[in-house]
Amino acid sequence: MPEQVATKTRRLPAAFEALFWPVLALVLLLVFNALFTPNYLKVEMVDGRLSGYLIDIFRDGAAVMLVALGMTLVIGTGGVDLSVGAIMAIAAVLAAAMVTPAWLGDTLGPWAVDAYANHPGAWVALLLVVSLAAAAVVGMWNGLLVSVLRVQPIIATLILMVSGRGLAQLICGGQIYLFDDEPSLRFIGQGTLLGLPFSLWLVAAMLIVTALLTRRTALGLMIESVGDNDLASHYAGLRARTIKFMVYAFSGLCAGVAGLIESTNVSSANANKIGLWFELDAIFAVVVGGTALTGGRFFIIGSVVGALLIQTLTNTMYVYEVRPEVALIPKALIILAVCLLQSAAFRRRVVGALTAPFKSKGTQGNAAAGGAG
Amino acid sequence: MIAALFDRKYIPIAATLAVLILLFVFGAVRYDDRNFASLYNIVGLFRGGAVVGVAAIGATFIILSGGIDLSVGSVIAFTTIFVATLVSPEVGPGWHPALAIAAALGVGTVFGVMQGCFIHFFALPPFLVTLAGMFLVRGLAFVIHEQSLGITHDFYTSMQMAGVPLSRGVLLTVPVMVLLACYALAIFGASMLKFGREVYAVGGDEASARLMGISLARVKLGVYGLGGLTGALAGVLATVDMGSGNPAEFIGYELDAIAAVVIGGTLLTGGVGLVIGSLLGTLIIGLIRLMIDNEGTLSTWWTNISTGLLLFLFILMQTLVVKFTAGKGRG
Amino acid sequence: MTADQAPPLLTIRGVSKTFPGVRALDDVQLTLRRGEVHALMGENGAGKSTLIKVLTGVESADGGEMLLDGQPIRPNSPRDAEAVGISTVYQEVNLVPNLSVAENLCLGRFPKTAGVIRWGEARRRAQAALRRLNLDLDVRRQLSSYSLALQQMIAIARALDTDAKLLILDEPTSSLDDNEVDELLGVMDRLRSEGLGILFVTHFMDQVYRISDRITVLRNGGFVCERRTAELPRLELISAMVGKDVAALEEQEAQARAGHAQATQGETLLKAEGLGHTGVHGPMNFEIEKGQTVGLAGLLGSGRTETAWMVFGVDPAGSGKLKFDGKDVNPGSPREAMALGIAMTPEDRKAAGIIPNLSVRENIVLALQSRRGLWRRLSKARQRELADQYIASLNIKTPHREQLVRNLSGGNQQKVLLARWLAIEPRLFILDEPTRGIDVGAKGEIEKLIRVLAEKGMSILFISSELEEVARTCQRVVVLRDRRQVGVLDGEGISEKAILEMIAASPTGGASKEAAHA
Repeated sequence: MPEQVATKTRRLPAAFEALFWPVLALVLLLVFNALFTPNYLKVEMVDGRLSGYLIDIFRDGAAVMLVALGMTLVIGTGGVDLSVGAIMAIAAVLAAAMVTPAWLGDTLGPWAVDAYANHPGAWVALLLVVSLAAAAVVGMWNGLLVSVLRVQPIIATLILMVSGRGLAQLICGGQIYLFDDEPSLRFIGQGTLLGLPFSLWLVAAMLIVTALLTRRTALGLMIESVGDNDLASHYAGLRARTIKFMVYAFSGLCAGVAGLIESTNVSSANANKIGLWFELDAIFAVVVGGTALTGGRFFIIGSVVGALLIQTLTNTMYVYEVRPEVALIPKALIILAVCLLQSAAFRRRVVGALTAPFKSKGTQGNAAAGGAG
Repeated sequence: MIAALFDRKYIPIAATLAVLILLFVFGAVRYDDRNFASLYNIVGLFRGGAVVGVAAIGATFIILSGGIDLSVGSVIAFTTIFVATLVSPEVGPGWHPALAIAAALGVGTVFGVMQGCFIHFFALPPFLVTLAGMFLVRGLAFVIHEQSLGITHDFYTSMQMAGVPLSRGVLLTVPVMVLLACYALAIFGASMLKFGREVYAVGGDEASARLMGISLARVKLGVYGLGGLTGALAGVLATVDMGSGNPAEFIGYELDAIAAVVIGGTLLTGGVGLVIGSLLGTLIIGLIRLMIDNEGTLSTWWTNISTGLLLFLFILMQTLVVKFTAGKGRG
Repeated sequence: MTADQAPPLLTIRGVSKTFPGVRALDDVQLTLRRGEVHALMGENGAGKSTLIKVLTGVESADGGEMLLDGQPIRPNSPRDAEAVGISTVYQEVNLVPNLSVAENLCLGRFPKTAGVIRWGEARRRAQAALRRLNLDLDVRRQLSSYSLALQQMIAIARALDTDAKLLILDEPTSSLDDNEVDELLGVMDRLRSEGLGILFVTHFMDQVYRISDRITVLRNGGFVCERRTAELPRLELISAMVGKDVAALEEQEAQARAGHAQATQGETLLKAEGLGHTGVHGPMNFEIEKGQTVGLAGLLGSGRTETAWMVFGVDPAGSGKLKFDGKDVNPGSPREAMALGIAMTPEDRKAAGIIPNLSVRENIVLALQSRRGLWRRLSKARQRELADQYIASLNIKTPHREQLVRNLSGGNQQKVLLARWLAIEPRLFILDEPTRGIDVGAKGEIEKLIRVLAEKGMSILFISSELEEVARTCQRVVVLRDRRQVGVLDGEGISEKAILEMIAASPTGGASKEAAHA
């Protein structure tokens, strides 16, 4: 068959190719900072914990990395989750409310106040379970809409992107509760374990679990299969709906953990602030990491690198004292640029136009092959 | 002709109208003591819905073409602060408001067309481009001016005062008239102009539409340009309403606009829907907010929750309608 | 025929087109006269679609010339082509389902006053265009409310509405049933007598011989021959298409017949008793023995695929009983069917079969992996081994096992699907149109594979639109009409003619008699 000749050349492993650009961008950004910011690359031990600009990136980026982890699987199935920020807020507010005696007394009754006072350790464990379960349940709601009702993922999760924050405010009655009296919870966002931020250990654990789940079981293949063609996957005996349902639940769980990290890091849970504008950061991380928004192949490590890249960018702007809202501009521009570089149409049009004087044919053939389907 | 009225395409809009009437009757009965069904409240619905309603026009065309626009809330916020800054003699050049408004409409349109370019020429997913647009424009709004900025100009004062008196104390204000005029134009454009029909065609089957000689570039750049224009116009109406500009406002308005369109019976898959539906959808959202206000005990966050809930219910209805009618097509 | 003396309408000389690594067209020529239906024949990959793309301006040729009415043409877009008088109707109806018939006919050329559409005139024009094809439809109704066949007619009306001199019909009949095909061929005949030139691309030989005046055959991007249809026997046409001589083809045919003779007398594997959906489908009563190949034959829409869906759990039966290996079953999903040992390759290979952006290896292991479940992952080594084994045994043409399936040709994609299901060693294998749209070589290989599998004891439920293929491959044929079972043919009683007669015979009258125009 003549049509096979064109694609015979063997390429580098996809994962390697996917990592090349984000790693390059990250290195360039670090080099830029190293040149213009004194002591940028310096890491030192202060009071038993490592500190420095680089450590800050990891600590500040923990939540983005987590959210990106869940988002990677969702995007792998061909979906997207716009509600992660709202889910972060729900988990954070719930956790904060459950260590606030006033809320406990009003909402659950005096027994809860007593239970917290008498067994604070067990109560904190319980609230962790409750708030993470709530996050997962909210994610399951998304999964239900997408997998059973077949609502477009953008819309299904858009519903919660807005009303999720309403739910969070409903939980706390519009109050901003604090974690000031509960050091064990603050440890999640501020603590140090073996010299490194505790949140980083959390990320590492989740990352390892996810990597094992997707690459040591058949989950990865199944997600990629469903993301690429869910009807055919269903016909091949896969539980396409269950898989979709699960990734949204998982994304909710990841967002929940991220919400706890974010809120305990600042010691307060503001339903309108926690996780605000996190959707873009997470999608950014995933797309930069090489996972296509159309679903199919996904790259977990790529997403982590992408998350580090966007956090480095954010922190760079902190160094230059740029307002957080204004910092949205370069982020938006970079994600557009990265998507353009990944877009076959862009390469064909722009790269094709640039190289046209030197090559007479070739680019057009690719266009034809793409359009033939 | 009678049969045409029972055409399948009118089912969703009939449902929307029924919901609107039912809600209104419910409110009229429940809040009878507060004179809920007054002309004042009815005009108030239009006044309150002017910003979202105008923004929803662009969203309607975009969704009809098979796309989506998440940037509209930011565009509205950007426009308010852009106009306020241009008019202000202290922090800006002190332009005449008419000039500033024209500039804002132009900037909004250009921005929309640019989004359309990214979507069409580089085949990027609309939600991604407009999500990036949402953040970009929000950031730019803060670059222009960091906080709320009042607009004091005779032109604005007279615009805020102007209107057609309907009865004692009830004024058909400029934003309401602009809203109604925009919908009249949009309905005409969707049904009587080539562009309108081409938008439906592209939303129905993009590949076929292209083979039938429709320029996809014109349609896509057109709808996103229109989205930018109506977003900017909504922003202008907001400045009239608030008498100021604020870069931090209007977060989540993109969902309101989308919800108005969906509640109005337009299918999110594109190609099916009526422009007038989006006006009805806007009124329904406004009506629910009005009822939440009237209830008194319900807090503001119920607004967000109810919009989401309503959106969910209508999407559920759409899903069911599509499911029941889909079987007929197979031969 | 007078067509021979008519002046050439379209002349193509020395047209070539190269894609990176592929010479898609190589010095192709074609001459089409006025008032002629000219069939363009060739296997998949022969260059038919590329030639049409060049003609309609979707692609530009690297060299050569094209003359329409003696004028050189070089269209840069389908619009350009339409402007010079070349209109095209494609396999999939390329209209917009959510718009009205009138809009579909006028889209891109609305009558306007100062930019405003004149709807009255648009409707009148649409009606006039349809009348040319003897169609009287309500042009205000949505396109999607009409049948596929009518939609195809509307597409033709649209194509002719541009003062077309040359009409290109690219596989227009693939989704039509026999009556609809008759109607379409009738329209083609009438248009021919009006002096239009028609370039007809199809896989269906019957239709070529019924309607065309001349045939041009392409192979591997090159011109093979141009002959009058009446002077080109079928066997010669096939041999020109596949590039084999006639004797080899006859031998192949004889081999196939030999395989057919071999009958099985085994135990029953699957038994359907009154299977169906009350009032909609069925009741179906048939048995499949172990090692037997049973065909489901009928016209399009007769319920063949729906029957397969009931057995495979895609659309579980609403009434009746299904016995598999002596036990009552009613699989509620493909997954449950798979657990029983039932496999299926679906009719729509692209939408429901392949996972296009995964590799050949991943596509092959998919069903086996999904039966093993999430936790018992097949090791990489085992996956490679499986893939290599099937690439070799099914002769899948792919540069390597990590190639993405979307880059394979249709026939090889089908083989990948077969491999996917063979890997779970099914006891019953449902093949729904396994040979549709694939080239003759791969077709033969798949038929051969079916015989080998049956010899090994696998039961096969075979569905195909090509009755000849059904007759050749199966030892039992269940005949369907209008979602009802109308009969079963066994062993020696099976022939294309017998199947057709059974479809045509109607206890309630001769309503569907003309369907069997054999």
